[in-house]
Amino acid sequence: MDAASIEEINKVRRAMGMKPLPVPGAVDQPRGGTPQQDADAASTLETREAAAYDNFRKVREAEEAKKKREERAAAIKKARDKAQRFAPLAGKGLADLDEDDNLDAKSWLKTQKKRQKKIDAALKLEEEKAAAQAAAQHTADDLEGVKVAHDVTSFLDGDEQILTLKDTGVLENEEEGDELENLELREQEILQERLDFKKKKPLYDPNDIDETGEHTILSKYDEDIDGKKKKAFTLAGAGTSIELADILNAPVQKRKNQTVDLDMLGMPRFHIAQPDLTLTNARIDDAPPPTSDYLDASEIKVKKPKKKSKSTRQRRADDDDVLFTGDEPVAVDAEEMDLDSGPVTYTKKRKVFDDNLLDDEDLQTSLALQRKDALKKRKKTRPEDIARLLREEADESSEPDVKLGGLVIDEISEFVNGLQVERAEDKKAPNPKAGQAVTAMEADSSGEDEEMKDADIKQESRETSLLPDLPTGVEGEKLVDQGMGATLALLKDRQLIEDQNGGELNEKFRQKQKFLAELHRRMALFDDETRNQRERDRASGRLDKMSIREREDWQRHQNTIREQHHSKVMDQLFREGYRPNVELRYTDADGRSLDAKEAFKELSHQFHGKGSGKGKTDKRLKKLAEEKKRMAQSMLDASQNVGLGTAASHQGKKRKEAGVRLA
Amino acid sequence: MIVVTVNDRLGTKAQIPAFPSDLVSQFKIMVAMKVGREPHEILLKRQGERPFKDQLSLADYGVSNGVQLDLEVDAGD
Repeated sequence: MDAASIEEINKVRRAMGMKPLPVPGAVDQPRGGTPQQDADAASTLETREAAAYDNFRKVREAEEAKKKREERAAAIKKARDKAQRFAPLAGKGLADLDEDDNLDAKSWLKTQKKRQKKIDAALKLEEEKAAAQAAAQHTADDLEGVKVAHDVTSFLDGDEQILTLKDTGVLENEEEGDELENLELREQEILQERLDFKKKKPLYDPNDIDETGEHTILSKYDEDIDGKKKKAFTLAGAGTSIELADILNAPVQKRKNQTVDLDMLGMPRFHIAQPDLTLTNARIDDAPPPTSDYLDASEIKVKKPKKKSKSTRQRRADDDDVLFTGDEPVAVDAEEMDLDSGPVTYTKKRKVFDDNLLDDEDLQTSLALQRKDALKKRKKTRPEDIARLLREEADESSEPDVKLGGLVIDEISEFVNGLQVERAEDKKAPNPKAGQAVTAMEADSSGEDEEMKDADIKQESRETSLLPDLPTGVEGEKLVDQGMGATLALLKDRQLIEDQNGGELNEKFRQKQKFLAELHRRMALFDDETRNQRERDRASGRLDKMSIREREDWQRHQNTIREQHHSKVMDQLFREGYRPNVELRYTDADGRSLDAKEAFKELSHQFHGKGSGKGKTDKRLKKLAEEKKRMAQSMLDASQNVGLGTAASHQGKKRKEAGVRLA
Repeated sequence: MIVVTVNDRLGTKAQIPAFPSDLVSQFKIMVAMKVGREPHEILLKRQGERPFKDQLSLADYGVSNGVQLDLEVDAGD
């Protein structure tokens, strides 16, 4: 690059307003330009590059300054540490003598009182602390009112059980208070619960009679609705439970729905002998086991029979007069007691036996006899006995059960009630719809008369095939007598006619009619105009001047002009308004209209002179027949897939409702 | 100041002094003066790279002293 060329370039650069290039031979520009450069610092690469060195230097200086500062600070710290290390320690040392030790006996005695006071105060404080601690100790009394989340019966085993606070959130059961539970017991309960779930119990068990009498309707859902019944009890004052005593004292179960035990009848003696029959519970619980059919061996005295005939006679006597044999004191006693308490319905079993039974055979027969006898007596006394027992029971239970007094409802009675109520409702209020409309449904569901009506309806509908005045019973049903639109809708609902896009057809038809009217109007106008012009020509007398030939020529000329005009107008009209509706209709031999596919098939068959095979033809014929049948069928015929049934189902489908027809 | 070599590989080669801070458009005028073509017909690029844009400076393209740029005819597309 020589200076000349650079000079050249600089000229151009200056002309463009650019900075001139430095010329190598020329003297360096005075530094006067630098302040200007400083003004727009970092605007160009050079200035930035120039500034780079300064920046670097500044950074170095800053670093150095920082280093120096740190050094100074370190030195100061070192000096301070040193000064501290050599500072003399203040306070009393181990080897230093206590001033008090220097006291003489007199002064020590003087301060003795003070010292004693101090010691007393310390002792007192300690005592107080101990007392407070003792007061704060936790005893059984503190457990009063605390809940235990287990059944009391689970603690009856007598083993020592450790209860811990139940693991719950802090604020969860603030108002209920703390609850105690035994972890092992809790685990057992959970396990039991799981096992119960696995058992797959039937939902309704008619044999499962709740003996406590707390019988709710659909009790199997109680846990779902009310939540789980918690077995819990509250600890009483001395750490024992409140209910525990009750549980231990009370009978095991309270029986309210007492079933009549047949075995009970064998021991009526007991009831009568007890003057105060307070509770049936007590009676049953205290009752001895039922008497067996056989007597105890100790009671039987076997004697040798003297004669065989005696035994037979004895038997007869047994059979005839059982009640009053008269020679048994025990039986009399029993009767007297019976008289005390109520009507006599039975006697004690006879205990008189023949002593003169010879051998095993005789023994057997006599035993059999006695068995039979006992059985007979039992049967004889049963109804009265039951009545009496029931009466007694009612008398007794009426007193304690006054407050219960409610209606006992179990599953069966509930079920039966439901049935009855439904029947009554049916009779009282027939379906409001049925009142105004005879539906096929009702006709089917009710008696014979209705069925006859149904038959009539069928005939009618066959005659008109349109159901003119029959209310249908389906809501929103269209009637034929409502007009053509309703009829169409009805037919459409039953799929007897297909839905064509009527709007479009109508529009086309209207257009065509409009076009035709316009055409006629113009034709008429044209005719009128022609006539008028001829009249005018004739009136003007212009034709009179012409010869016949000329006249004909002229008229022909006029005609052509008119025609031309006419054709022009018509052409425009046709172009604007004429929309021909081309529709190809094909019909088969029966006159059914065919759609494109069917028509093509038919034409093809005709052209080739060969039709479908037998199977296809049969299928087609069957389909046609079915369709015909469907069209002809009654609308009320619910048994078929036509008429009201389909109408209803169609409507249901339209509304997207699920439903079952109850016919 | 840098000296940039402009070569069209067809026999035209020119050395043009400029500042790195010069815009490409300005540099093109210098080139036009040297090679005898209209500035708007000149297209400069590094070999195998995209053409330079007028609004940027030579320094932006990293053009330093002794760099050779390809000179092509800018058809305006």
